[in-house]
Amino acid sequence: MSRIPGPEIDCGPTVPGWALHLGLAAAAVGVFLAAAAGTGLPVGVMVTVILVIVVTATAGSAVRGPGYLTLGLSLFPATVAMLTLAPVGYTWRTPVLMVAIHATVRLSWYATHVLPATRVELAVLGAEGPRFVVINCVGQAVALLAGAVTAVTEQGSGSASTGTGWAGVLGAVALLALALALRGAAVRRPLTSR
Amino acid sequence: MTSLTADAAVWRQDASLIVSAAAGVLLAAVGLLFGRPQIVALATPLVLCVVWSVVQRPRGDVTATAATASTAVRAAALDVELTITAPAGADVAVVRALSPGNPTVDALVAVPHGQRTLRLRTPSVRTGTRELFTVDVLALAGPGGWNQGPVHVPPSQMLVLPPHGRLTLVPVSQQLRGLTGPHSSRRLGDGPEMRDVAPLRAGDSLRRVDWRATARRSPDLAQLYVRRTFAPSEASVVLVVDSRDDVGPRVATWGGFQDSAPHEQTSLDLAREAAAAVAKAVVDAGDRVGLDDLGRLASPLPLAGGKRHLQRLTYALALSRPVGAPPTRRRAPQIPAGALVYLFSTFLDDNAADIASQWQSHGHRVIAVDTLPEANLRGLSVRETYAWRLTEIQRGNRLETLARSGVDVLRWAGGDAARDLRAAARAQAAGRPR
Repeated sequence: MSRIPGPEIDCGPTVPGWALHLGLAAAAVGVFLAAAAGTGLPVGVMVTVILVIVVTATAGSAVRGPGYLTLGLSLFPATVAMLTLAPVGYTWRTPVLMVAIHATVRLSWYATHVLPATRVELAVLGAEGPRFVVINCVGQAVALLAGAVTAVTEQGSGSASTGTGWAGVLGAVALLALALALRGAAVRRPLTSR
Repeated sequence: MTSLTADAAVWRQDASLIVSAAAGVLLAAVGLLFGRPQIVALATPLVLCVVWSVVQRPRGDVTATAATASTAVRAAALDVELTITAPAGADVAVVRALSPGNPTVDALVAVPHGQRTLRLRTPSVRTGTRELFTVDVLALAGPGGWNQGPVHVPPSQMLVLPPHGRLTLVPVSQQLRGLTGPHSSRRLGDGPEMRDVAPLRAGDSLRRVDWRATARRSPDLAQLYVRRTFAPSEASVVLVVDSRDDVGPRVATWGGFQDSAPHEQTSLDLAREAAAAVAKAVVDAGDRVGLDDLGRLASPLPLAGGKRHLQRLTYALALSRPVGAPPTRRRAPQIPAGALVYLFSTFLDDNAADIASQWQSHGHRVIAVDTLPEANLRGLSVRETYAWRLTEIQRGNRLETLARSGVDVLRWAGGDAARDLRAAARAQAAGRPR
């Protein structure tokens, strides 16, 4: 039986909305896995948390709920795992977590506005790329600097908490610099009349 | 071309702004509290996202305009052009479009440089006044955090004209009228068809003198002979559309609680297309055609010929639609003398058949074109199926009675009406009296 053609919106190449919902679930699971991997967390607990995240993402997608619950459900156990089980200091998991958390935040925003059947134009995702890279690069730079300063101060005093202040200061400086740069760009941008 | 514009005015804050800010602050606080700089660092992208969103907040209104042609000839699909205008910073929009009888479609599209034009397309095989897309546009700031809308664009309407199908030959009236046209009448006149050679009389043109015949019959030129020809004339055809009902192929929709699907032609769509095809064939042949509607008491379109008249007739066909409860006509609409009548109806009640019989008894030749689509019984209950069978039997009896009384009955949907009409026209031409 041939499929009856339905109405359509002619736009550029698209991906289905469910791919973004799937991406959100994958990124959220990735956040937790990156935080909990190699920490000795029991497999049962890991599987349970992953199942909760996947079920929440699926339910959110099915009931057209916002994707922020999935973000919260992945961030909370990831933070707990980082605090209690993960080794202190800058490790491989810091940059991976940063990318995963950022991706989860953005995908949760998309999942909030996009239904599984919605066509998502690739140009929209393409425009997201540079923004994602800039924010992540700044974040990674801040993390590297914080890690470096922490290592230096740990060598000097043997205490990890001393480096936290440095990290906070460096992060604040980086954020301020970026905010000023964006502010300058916004001022140059012509405003349309309200 | 008609266009409908709508705009929204307020940029509302998105939950993503609060969620990102809260998550970032919490991560930073936890990291600082427990002395974990890497957790503080993890908050950076979240906070940066918030900063980016706040700095790049769009200012200005979003407008959406849907433009469509006011008329179109039926094709496979109908198009609407949607133009979204957004201020700087609002470079993403969710477009949600609903066309009658179809599921909602939506897309997340880019709005680069503040403007984007999209084409919305809905398949439709229907004719008449069609309602196109109802569109909602939600403008979003690309970095997230702000949205405006939805901007609601009401549905635009389009008059879809029936296409002029190809009918090479159709039966026309045998009673010819006028002194111009493609046919030769019995009267003497200036037509191309020769009648006889006769002696020159007062009033005959000297150009008509047949010198050969004169030399043969009157060598001394005592009498001149002229060639006499038949007068040209034209036939008249009246198309009568029964717009009192409009039923689709799915019998389950006949109750009026469901709409016919846009990919299914209803009886009125078939009637419009059949009438337009016959009108085109008649006008192309140089004859005159008129239009009447059993569902309206308004004055009919009078007999005329030519392309402008054909266009007027096509518009009138497209505008015909059921209005209110189906009226019952006691007296048949008056038909010009000698005109052949094409009656396009579903024959679901006795009225159309009665009227056809009245015309037949008045001496008009009537061709009844059955425009009921091929029935689809899906979704009918057992009782409804029985009801349909009874209706179908009654309808069959009506058409059979008509055929017995001398009315030509043709089926448009499913049958080969073009072949039947061609055959009828040839049979008529073979035995046409002048």
